[in-house]
Amino acid sequence: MRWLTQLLIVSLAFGAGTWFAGWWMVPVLGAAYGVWAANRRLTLITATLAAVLAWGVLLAFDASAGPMGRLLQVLGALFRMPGAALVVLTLAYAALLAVSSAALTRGLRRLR
Amino acid sequence: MNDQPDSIVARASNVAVTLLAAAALAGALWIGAKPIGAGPPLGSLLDPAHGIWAVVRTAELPRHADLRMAGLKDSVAVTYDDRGVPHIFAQHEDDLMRAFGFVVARDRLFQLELQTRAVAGTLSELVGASALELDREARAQGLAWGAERKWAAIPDTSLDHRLVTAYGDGINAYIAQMRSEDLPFEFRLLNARPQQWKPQYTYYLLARMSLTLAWSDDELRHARIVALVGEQAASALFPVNSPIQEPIQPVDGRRAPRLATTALPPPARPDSARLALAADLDKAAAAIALADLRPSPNGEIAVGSNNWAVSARRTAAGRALLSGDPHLQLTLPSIWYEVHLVVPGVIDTYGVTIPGGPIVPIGFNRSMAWTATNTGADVADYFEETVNDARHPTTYQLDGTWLPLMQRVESVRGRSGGILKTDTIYHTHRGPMLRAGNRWLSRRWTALDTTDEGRALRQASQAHTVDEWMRVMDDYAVPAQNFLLADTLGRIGIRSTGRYPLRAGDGRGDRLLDGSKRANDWQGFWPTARYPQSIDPRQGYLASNNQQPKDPQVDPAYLGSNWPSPWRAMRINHLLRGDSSVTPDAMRRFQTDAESEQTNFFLPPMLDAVARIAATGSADTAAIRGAALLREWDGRFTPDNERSVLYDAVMDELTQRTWDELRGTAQLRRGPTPSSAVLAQLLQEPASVWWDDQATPARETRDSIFVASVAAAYRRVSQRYGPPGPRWRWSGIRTATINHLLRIPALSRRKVPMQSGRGTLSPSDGDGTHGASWRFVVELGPEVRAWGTYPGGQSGNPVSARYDDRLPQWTAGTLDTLRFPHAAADIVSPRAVLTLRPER
Repeated sequence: MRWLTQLLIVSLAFGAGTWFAGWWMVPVLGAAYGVWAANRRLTLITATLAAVLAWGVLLAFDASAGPMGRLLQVLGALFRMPGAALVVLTLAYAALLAVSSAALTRGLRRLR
Repeated sequence: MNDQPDSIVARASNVAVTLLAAAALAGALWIGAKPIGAGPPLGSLLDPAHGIWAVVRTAELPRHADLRMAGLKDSVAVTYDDRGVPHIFAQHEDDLMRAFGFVVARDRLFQLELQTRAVAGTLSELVGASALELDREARAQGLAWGAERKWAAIPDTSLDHRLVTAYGDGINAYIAQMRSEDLPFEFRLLNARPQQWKPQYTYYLLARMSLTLAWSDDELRHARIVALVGEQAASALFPVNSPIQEPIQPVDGRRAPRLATTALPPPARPDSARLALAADLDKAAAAIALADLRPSPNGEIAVGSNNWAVSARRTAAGRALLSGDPHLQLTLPSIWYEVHLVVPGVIDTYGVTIPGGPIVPIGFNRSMAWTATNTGADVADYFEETVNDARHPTTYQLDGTWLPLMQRVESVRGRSGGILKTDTIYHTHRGPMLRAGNRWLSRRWTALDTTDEGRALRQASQAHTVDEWMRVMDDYAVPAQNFLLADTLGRIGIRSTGRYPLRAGDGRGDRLLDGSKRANDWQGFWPTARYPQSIDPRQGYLASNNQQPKDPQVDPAYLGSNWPSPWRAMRINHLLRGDSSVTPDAMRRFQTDAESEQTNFFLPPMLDAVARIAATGSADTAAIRGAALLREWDGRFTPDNERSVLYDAVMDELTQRTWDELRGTAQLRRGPTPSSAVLAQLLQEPASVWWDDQATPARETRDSIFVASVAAAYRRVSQRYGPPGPRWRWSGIRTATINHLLRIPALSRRKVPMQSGRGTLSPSDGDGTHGASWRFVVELGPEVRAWGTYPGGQSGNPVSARYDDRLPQWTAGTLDTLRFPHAAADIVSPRAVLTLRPER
């Protein structure tokens, strides 16, 4: 339960950071989380899932506000790949930013 | 003792994981922050709040929006109807223009940016060095230079200066209040931001339209043809007067086209001295002329517009009818944007506008309707100048005196702001010069004169009658247009309105002139009374289809040369002559009429020739099979037709075989192809030397070329599409190509079915990039009714349903009912409402 709460809080932070400032808030917040949770369990999994959840919710919000299917069609044709692959790429990118930044600061913290 | 190695392993593992994380993070940040080519960095592209995904949130207009705007005197109500057309209700003209600019920017911001940069020669700053040559061309043409002069010549205190400025303020107000998700799709792909709008950009747009519609290089074409076949033949192949006369200005009492019966003089041998000159001119022209403005290889000009109007006495309802059908390059978003502008007591106008222009060049109000086709008059001349230094000239000679050249230094910059190329453009008093080998040519072109078309068009959109409209448009200059009018009094009128030069000597402008003599300069301009025109002709209808406006038997004055073949004019005149009770629906049907008068000229003699030669037993079996199939043809270019393709191929073959003298030489590429009207003129001379195929020892005649063309066409079509059957269906062959402005395939619509063919009212060229850009019909009754559509949609956002929602109607040849409410409250089920209020 505590872990789930933590996951939601971190996710909320990623989502709010992205919404108000931009994508680069994910590594910034990920790094902060890595320091704070350096000695906790599941730190990297939490960071990864939180980022995916945050950006997933933001994408879902976009989809609820407009013709996401049409956008996927256009982007798919533009980048010559299935539109859904871009969704996966977006979520994977968020995960990469979060996990790498959290792992970096957690590692540095542990090295001290 | 055992803990220590474990601790070392754990520490080493932690170091490894940390290093791996650092590398992964560095990589992720690097690809997230570094732009991909000319595109955006991955991070800002994939950002779900501000990146490419955000465009879905602005794909459709918000149902209600209430915004403050600086400079407004009163609130402005903008109501978008069910077709996404904004109806703008304001209390003052300035407010109307502010809101107009805002609304256009809201839907078409990237289009505004791109078309402005195309004229300014700053595309490279947006898309990179790939646009360098386009930018250099634009600057050499002097379009922006001319537009800046036009703007500077408009008095600051004039109403038009104020309105154009207000329109620009509206665009900038939109840009200033944009949220991150409002940034158009294309800006995101290019990792760019919109530039601030300047009022003179409106005149850049006019300059761009002049380039599309009023550019001519007849002198350069003439020089090429003279080099290949001699002066006499060149003048006959690209004549000043169309061999078939169905003029815009009706000739009283004439009920059929007039066909010239003069023989074409034989070709002379290529002249090596002239070939060298022509090759130089050709290279020079290529440096400034855009490829899409050139005639297609079949000799016809790809841009072909139509308009016609019927006076009240020839319509079923006793109300004047008007049809507009301008043909232009088809793009997404469309060149046109529909709008309804209202200031009570001042303006109540509906029509299409080109984003960037605060005017409605084609449309209607409560009293009248107007539309245009291109006149195609020759309003540009080249002069060969005598300069002091062929490489770096500083002076030019005029009547024995050396005069200084004006120099304009143009630096094209790239995306990073660095200079990609600097050119010096030299100007004489006539205009910018271009270099052709060791020669220098200057160009005089009405589009670069300091005239104000904006004022005339604005006043015209508020006119109440045909006469008033013509009066306020008296000093409209460029691009010259065949403006067609109809009013609620039941009257109709047409006038080829523009600034036509009066030239020295024989008055012709299709030959290179000696620039060292002032006497060769333009002597003035035609008086308005001499323009081709007609009001309420006895025949009860008027039509224009880019054909020669006046029959030279009525007025032999030179207005241009090499006019488009009048097949479309003949067809619409035929249809209108045969219908004395025209309805709006008939007007609509005529717009996509499937028949062509051209086939009546070519097909019967062609089939007769094959039959005659087949009777002698010497005809090719492919010719006999082809002719049999063509006999089955109903002559209609309908989508399901399986014979049109063969006729189309036959005409290609016939054109190429007949004009083999123009194939070109090692020095000079192929000359342009004479129009099909000239080919029709040649039909009257079955033994003319022009029919002879120079590649064979035999002397071919018209009939043998007919037979060879039918045989070759049959083989070509069979080879490509197999035996006659569904694969020969016209809908799979003649399609429209509607490219996105950046020609991005994913944002374009290609292979769009269309009903069009050679010489039909809806003509199309090979790749289908040009066509009907806006079709509309207006009935001028006590309550004006109108119908229209265009190939695209109101929104420039490719994700929006409004991006291409009109394509199905356009393809089917149907029209939407246009809403023309008296008040915002009259709009049933509005799509969106925007209220703009003054700043507190």
